[in-house]
Amino acid sequence: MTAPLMMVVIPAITALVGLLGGGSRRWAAALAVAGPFTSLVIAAMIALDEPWTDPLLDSGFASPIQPFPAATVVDGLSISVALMVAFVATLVQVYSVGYMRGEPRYSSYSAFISLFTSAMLAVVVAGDLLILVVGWEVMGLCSYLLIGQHWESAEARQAAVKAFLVTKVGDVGFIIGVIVLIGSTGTSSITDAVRAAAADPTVAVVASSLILLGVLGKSAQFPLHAWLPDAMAGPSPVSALIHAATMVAAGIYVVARLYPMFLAAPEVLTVMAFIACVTMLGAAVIALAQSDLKRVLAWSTVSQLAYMLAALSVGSRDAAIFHLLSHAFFKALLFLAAGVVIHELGTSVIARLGGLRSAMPVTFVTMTVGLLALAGVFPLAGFFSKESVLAAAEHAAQGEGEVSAAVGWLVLVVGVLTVAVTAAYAMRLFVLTWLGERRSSASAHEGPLIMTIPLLVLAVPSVAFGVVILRDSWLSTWITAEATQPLAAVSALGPEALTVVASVIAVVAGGVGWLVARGTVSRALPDDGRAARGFGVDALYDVTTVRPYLWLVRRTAAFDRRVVSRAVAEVGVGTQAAGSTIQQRHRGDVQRYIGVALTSGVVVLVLLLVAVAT
Amino acid sequence: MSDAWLLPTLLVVPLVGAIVMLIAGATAERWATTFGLIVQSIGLAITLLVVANFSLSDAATMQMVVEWSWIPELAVDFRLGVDGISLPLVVLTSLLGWCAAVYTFRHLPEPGRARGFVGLLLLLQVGMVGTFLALDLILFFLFFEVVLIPMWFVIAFWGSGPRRRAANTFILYTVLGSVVMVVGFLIVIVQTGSSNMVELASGLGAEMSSGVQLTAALLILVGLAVKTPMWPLHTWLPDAHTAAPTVGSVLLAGVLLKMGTYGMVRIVLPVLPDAALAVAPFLGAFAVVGILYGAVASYGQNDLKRVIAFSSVGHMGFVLLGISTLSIVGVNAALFGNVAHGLITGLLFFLVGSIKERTGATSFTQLPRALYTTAPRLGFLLGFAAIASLGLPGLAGFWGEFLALVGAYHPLDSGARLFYRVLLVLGAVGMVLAAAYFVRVLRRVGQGEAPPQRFADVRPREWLTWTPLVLLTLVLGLAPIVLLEVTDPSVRVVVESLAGALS
Repeated sequence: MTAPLMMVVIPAITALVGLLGGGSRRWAAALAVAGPFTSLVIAAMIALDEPWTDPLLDSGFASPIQPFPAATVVDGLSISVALMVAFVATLVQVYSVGYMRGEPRYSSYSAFISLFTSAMLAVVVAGDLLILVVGWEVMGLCSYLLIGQHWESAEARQAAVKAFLVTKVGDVGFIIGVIVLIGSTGTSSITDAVRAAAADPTVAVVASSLILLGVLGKSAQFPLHAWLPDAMAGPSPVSALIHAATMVAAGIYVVARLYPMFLAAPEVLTVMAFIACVTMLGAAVIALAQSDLKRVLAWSTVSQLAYMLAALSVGSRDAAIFHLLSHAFFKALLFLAAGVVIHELGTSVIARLGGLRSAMPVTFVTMTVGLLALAGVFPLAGFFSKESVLAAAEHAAQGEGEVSAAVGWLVLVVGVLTVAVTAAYAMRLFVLTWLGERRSSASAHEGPLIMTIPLLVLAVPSVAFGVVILRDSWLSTWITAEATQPLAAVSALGPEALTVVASVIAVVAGGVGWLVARGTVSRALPDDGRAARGFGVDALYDVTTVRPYLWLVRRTAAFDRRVVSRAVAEVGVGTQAAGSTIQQRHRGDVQRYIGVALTSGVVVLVLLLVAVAT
Repeated sequence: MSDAWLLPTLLVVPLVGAIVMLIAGATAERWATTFGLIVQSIGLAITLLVVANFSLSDAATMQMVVEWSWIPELAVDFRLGVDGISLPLVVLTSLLGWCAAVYTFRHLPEPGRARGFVGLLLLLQVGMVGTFLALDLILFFLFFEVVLIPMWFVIAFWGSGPRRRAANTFILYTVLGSVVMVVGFLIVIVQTGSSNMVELASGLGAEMSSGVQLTAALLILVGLAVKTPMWPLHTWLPDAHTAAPTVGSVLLAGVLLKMGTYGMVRIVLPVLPDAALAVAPFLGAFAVVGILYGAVASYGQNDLKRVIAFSSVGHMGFVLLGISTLSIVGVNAALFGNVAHGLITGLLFFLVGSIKERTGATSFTQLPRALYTTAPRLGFLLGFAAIASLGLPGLAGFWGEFLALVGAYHPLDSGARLFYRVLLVLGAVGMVLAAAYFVRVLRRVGQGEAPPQRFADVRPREWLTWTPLVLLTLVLGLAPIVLLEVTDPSVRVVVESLAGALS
């Protein structure tokens, strides 16, 4: 078995062993960490084995169906994302050992996290569409299982089902898109299928728009985004995993992997740009109005993923992946830090936080780093990656990109506006959580080492990742494997007007956020507004989908009981009559039905004789 | 050594077993289930020998053929054989029969009466295996009918609830269906002068005029469609499943339903190619209605057994859709889907039976919540089976459905391409709807606030029954090629002759 496959299979095996149960909790924890960590080591070994024959195709797996070859792809794109996935997943597993102390279902919980990691890695290294589909869907299942970890509560059950079914709706498109791609190109090898599809505009448009539907579901983009904020019903480390390393990253990654096909479908890119703009700004505004720590972060994920989608829509795969990676580090950091707060205080309601700075200094410092990176403050990772997205939009606005200049302008303007809103909600969250008076009487301490160490580890790339990429290091050559422009644009960024404008806006907005938050707590927490309720998208789901479907279900079940059964019963009315005649003579049912069976046998024999006679 | 003895033995062993049960005295009550398990184990061992003797490189031709003159006046022969289309189903039947024997080992459904029960199951086994081995139309029909009587008794005597009514509906439907079917067979026999399925498939059947073919095909399809069951002929199924004892439901869903779709691939496609081409789009339309209808109706059920029964309507819809594309991928998908559904739905019915045994209920209003807590391993298996059934890639249930849709992208008749693409989209919608009702089941049965009582978790007898089903679901999900390489050569022959008829 080849190294990339081992990277996928090993966490799946540890998951299976964990699920079979047995052994002590210590064993379960060791198993939990061992799976993703082994993948991380393998990923690092592959990475150090540079240069890879580009792209290296390894067929190490019996192909599922004869004409479909199976393969993995090792290139800069897959290896950099795989490193990030395994890195974050390992930290999540370590952190969970502390966070889930006392959890009765720890072994299945950690097994599902390992399986989740395995599935994401399968998507990342997939060189074949079928492997991609398997990883993609198994991830959906794992998100369902983990969001519903505490299934005793109705809220968790509801959130798990919602996540599963909303992403499944997108998957209708995804599955059909994959079938179109396989059917029209005659191959399921991603490289070949994408190359063939890119040469045929019709196939490119149809397949990319269908696959985009699946991406909208997985990456929580409008209108299939509403599952993600609810998904915070799962434990905090699960949120960190879903929001950073797996699941939501998969949607963006798949577009990046199939990118030549999307580039051949400019119409789809334009639609993507509009969706990204709506989601980006809308989710950021909603985040500003949330009254729950994790919900703010969840909506911010929706908004930040829209940046990645926007980068893809203006033709810059590299900027999207850059932001994907840097976002993964600081968002995992933020959720794990939020987890420490929740773990200590037993609540994530912002109105009950505040003044925690001195009680939990490590969490305070690391979460602040995360928030600064999220807001895009120089020189943290988020600054550079977000700048590279905006630079790509600017590039397109000047008419040099794959899409029209108007789309470039749209993305640029909305992107800059969202920078402002992002800075505002990050600042608001910072002030309300850490500064001011304590608003809860619960005693608060720093979390245990096993939880704070992952925070410190994640703080490093949250700070330094952007600088490393910019310094034209080996890492940046991985991300810029494709012949598109953007990271070069970033490198040459310098004191460009755009950067200055964006930074100034961020600082001003952050100041406004500060003032709002420092004013009165109640004014800063408008939790009954339209924005707080996500602008009614849930109600829209309810009216357009859930209710009509349940109505249809009731009607169908009733229809089946009455109409179909009766209609078919009447077809057999003659036989029924014959049966009841026999029944009246002989009360016993056995005789009656042996009678029917014999009668039919006789009928058959008579027919047989007639047939022979003719 | 010649391997010709294998297939007849596969029939003789359970038949002798059934006869022993019939003539054994009352003392046999004590050893009947042991006897049944031994007989089924021998049957399974012989099946494994058949697999070992099967030449994969020659999977398209009939192997281990035996042929005895039987009714020479009618040119009816006793002719058995196995190829890539039938072998997987023979294995499935022997496996599920063995599982049923393990499951009922010293553990019969009410009201006991071991001799009768074991004898009937063995007789059922003769009919089921015979149907998949028969190479003569009349012989096929006889085995097809042999299945009905024991199944009627099993439902009517060992069932629960309105069992008589359910058993009667079942037998009325299927008997009516098969009477119509045999008329179709007779038309074929009279027109061609042969009932030899191999001969008919290799061109003799195609010589009939299109009109005759169409008449025969429609009659035959009615019988097969009732069995499958194809919407709207499915209404016997939920009642039968609800009333049947556990192993009855397992064999009904796991094997009996497959006899219908097997008949289509074995008889209708190769023997009546012109008619198959003509009716395929209609079959596809009914299939997709069944997929959607099964999913929607399933969501509306409040009884575990009925949910699974309606889910079978949907799953068998995918099998029918695969057949209706008449494409290599589609027909392979159908045969794969047959086996996958047999394993997964068989497992589901076993699990529901065990849940009922512990809680005394299958309806959502009476079932206690939180099975994940009250019996964790049982709950885990229910979750596994439900997830496999809703078509998670990586488990067996997915490939049959996915490949049926791939087949619909390129149907054999390229003139109907647009029509089949509509079916493709609707079928994909059906896959999501299936997820909805299974998630509902898990939410209602598996999750929630745990009641104070705990139930016995999975027992050794149950582990033994279910482990092979779980493992095969995993193996076929991770390496579908294991099955596809068996079916593919035979399917290619069938589809190529259809392509010849088309041009």
